[in-house]
Amino acid sequence: MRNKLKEIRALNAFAKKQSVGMQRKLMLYWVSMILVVFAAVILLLSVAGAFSRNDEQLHEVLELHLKNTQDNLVNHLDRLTAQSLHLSKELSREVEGALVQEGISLQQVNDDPQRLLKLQEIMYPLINATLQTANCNGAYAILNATANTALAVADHSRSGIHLRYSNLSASSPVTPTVVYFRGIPDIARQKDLELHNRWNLEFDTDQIPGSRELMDAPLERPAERYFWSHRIDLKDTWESAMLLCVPIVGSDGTVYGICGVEISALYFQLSYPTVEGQFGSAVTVLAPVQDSRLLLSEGLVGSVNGTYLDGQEALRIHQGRYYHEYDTGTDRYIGLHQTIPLSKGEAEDTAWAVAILVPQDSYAAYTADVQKTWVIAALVLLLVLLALSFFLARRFVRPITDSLKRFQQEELPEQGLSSGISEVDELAEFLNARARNQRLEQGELPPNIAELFDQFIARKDLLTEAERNILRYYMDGHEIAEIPDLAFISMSTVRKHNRSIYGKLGVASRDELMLYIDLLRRCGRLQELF
Amino acid sequence: MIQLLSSHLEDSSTPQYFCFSIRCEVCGEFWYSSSIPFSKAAQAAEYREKKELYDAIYQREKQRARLTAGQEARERFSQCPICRRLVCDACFLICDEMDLCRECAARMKESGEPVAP
Amino acid sequence: MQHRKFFFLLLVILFLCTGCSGTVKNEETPTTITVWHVYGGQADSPLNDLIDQFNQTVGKEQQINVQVTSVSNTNTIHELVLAAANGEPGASELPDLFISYPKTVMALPDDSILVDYRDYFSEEELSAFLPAFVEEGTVNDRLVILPVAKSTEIMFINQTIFDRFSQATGVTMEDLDTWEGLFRAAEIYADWTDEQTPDIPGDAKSMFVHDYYFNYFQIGAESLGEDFFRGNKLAFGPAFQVAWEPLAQAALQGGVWLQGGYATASLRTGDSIVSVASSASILYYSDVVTYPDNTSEDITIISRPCPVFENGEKLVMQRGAGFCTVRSTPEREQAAVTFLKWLTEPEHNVEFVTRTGYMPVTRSAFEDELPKAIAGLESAKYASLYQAYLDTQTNYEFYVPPQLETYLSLETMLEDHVRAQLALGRQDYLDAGETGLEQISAERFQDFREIMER
Repeated sequence: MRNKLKEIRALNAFAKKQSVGMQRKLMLYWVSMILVVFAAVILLLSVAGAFSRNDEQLHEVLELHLKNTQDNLVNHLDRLTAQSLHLSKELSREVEGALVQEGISLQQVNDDPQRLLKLQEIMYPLINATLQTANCNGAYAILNATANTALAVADHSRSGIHLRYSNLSASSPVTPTVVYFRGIPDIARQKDLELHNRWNLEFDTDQIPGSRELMDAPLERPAERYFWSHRIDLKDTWESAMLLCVPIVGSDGTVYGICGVEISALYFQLSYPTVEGQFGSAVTVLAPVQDSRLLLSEGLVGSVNGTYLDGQEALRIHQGRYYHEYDTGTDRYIGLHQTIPLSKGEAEDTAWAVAILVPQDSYAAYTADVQKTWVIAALVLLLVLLALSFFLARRFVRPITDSLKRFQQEELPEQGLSSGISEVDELAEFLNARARNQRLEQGELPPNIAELFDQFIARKDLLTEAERNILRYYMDGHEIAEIPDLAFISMSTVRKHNRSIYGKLGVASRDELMLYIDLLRRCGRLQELF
Repeated sequence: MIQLLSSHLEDSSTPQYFCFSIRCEVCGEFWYSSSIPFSKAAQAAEYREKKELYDAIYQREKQRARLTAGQEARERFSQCPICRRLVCDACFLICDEMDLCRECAARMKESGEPVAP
Repeated sequence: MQHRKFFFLLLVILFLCTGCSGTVKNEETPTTITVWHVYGGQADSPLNDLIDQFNQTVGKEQQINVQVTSVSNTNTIHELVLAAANGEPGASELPDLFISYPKTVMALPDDSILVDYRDYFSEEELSAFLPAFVEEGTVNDRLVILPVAKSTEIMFINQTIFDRFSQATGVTMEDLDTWEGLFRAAEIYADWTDEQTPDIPGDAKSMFVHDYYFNYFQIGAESLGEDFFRGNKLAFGPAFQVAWEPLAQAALQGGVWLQGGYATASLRTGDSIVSVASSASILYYSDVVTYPDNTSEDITIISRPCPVFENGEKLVMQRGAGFCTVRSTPEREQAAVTFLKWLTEPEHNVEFVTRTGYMPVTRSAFEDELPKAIAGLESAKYASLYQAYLDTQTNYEFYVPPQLETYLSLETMLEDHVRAQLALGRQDYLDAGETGLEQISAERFQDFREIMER
């Protein structure tokens, strides 16, 4: 056990001693610095809110979109109200005129289908004109009278006309077909209108909450009190609609009935298409807000392309900083809403709101997308930095390693052959000098060879001055053939000298002589020959 | 050295052979270079009408022969470092301090051995 | 060299970055396809319910959202489709799916805007359909109309009032089995209702209304062994005359409803009590009649097979439009076909047809699912309809109208003019003090024929 520990310690010590490559070490420094800077940048960015930019951006987009939609919608509804008020005034004048002509009151029209028909014949063109000119899909007028007071349903059955468009389509301004939803069929036949499949002679006022109250209380002006109904299912049909209820007020303040326009769920859906944005499909909603819930089932929902809304949900609202969350129970939506005034003079005022809803899934997908981009960009940046650090480290280390290699090959860098780094050059010079000194001081040659050299050097004293002169030429690297020209002596003279130099120095040939000279030069002892 | 020798070469050529001589300034003996035959000697004698042409060739070969003669003279002539005369190997002595001509060596009482006996 | 490599690397990274930052298409968004159909009109639409069911199940799984943007009738759709296909100003954009008869496709300027279902259905899948239905949907050798439901003509009777009439006059329901008997009964009904208010003369009520007089004459002529069409026009053979006579006489005497619109409207107001119409109109028959004084009466509607001529074959119109898919992107086309395949699965198909008064279109639906579904029908109205359906199927030959380019224009023209001429005749007859019945009928026929042959 103890031995093992020792071994491990030894290994550890060995590993510590094991020197790390300069490049790797430099890389390590670089990388740790990069990581620190990188972390700092990320920290700074998140502190500065770069990552919550999505939410802010969403907020801006939603707010702008909501404002536009609200302007649009409020404008639309205002125009409809204005047109309905106008219809109400016209109807009031015409109906009153007819009643005065007959010298009867509206009550006396009860149980008189003929008189009702007459009144409806007067009313029809006005209602039809409103339907044709207003941006709606239906227009109606109800008289506070019924064809048969003896019936059990008499107290909530009221005569009137309701015209609707039957074939709405998204982009078609083509005159849609008008169908006759409520009213005396004789008029439909006169005007060649198709009866609605679920036609009825009279309105069931129970279907329109609030309409009875509106008809029963006397008023001065129609603009004093009007309201939009909640979305009501049109009985026996697959459609549902919101009705604008405006009273028809006579000159004496009696309310003759109500009139207005209809916006069906389908019409609203076609008029307010989803807006495809970067965050997903934005759905327009007009619905009442109650107990912090958005009641889609009582309001209207624009086109729901790209979402799974079916227009029946009650959305719980969770307020947020940048946007609200709307929870259907199964799906979540995000968006904004803004309350708008719709009705006037109503006792219990429902808060209506315009809302913009975007599926949370698609926003989440978008943010995930953005995050992915961030992560990829960060990774790429990191990779680039690593590559850069590798590149720089290599570039920095290379001259050093090259010089080292040259040292190893014993090719000591001569003066002028610089590595480009002053420290390395200094080191090289230092090493050079030390190597020279060492050789001089220690004479690191094997002793027998050194003796050979010594003898050789000793023999040079035998040479005459003339011979030494010739030897000098050889030491300077000259060939035999060059000597006559240099010394102005004949070749024969040269040869004669050579023979005596070789003999005196104890060498057999010029090659052997040159080898000695070369070796002495390498040992730095050449100067001893002089 | 080669220039020095060239300037001392004396023309001893014939129309058939090229030959040059140098006179040792100490002993006065002439040395003759190996004679080199003129390659067109026969034709030159035969075709008189091409005399100028052969003359030109003759001159060219003579130049070459002169260079060869200079090289040959390098083998056996030295310049005395004292009197600056051109001397043959027989009159040039190998002394201890410096090689000298026979006369300068005698004057300075330097003993030596001639290069060529 | 080194530098160049380095810059190259940088460039590559830059490109990578721009590639990443490009907005990736959100896969969560469902493919929304739009539909124009006729099943339900302004009443409750069973197809819409089925579409909801599809959207909540298969649609959610495969990210398909089917949206109904128009529910109307085939004629309206016909006009909208033609307007859209011809690119008329103000025309709406074509939906992905719409209901159509071959006549609409024939009238299209270019039927290559429609998907050939053979591209999306395998031979095996198509062989599940009844071959005659597939045949009917093939135009110019391309299967462009996918059958989803088939209807036939059925006689609907307001049994409550008819029984009252029957008791008073002795006319029985069996009298209505032939056209001759039916129109005789209509004359009697007119007299009977006229007599109920002695102080108002000429206020006879109509007993009968036909949705498509064009079909009446067409089936009539064909069942009497005569061609109804000659080339692109009507043949006007003797059999046409045979069909005209009883109709005209009953109409002149006030026994036939001549106003425009669908048969269901006049039954709803009690203005007529017997109609011949597509079995699919069962949806629109109300169980209540409302009179001008706002009183209403609960009634029972029963169905019987379509009447025939005494000397004619038992022939009946087979109708039923199918779905056309408009060419768009492969995803949308695929989504549309996915929905259609779902809709024609026997289970869903039978659920759909039995709620709309149609017959299913696949063999297995017919053989396995339909009998179960009929046995389980709770509504007497529907049970009666399917009884009449089964009777028709056993006793009648089905007639499929030919694919004529002029079919629709002939139909509209005949519909308008036969009603107009008969209404004129009715006025003439009243003006003439209810005399000269035959002469007026002949005059009107003459006028009518002239107009039609113009």
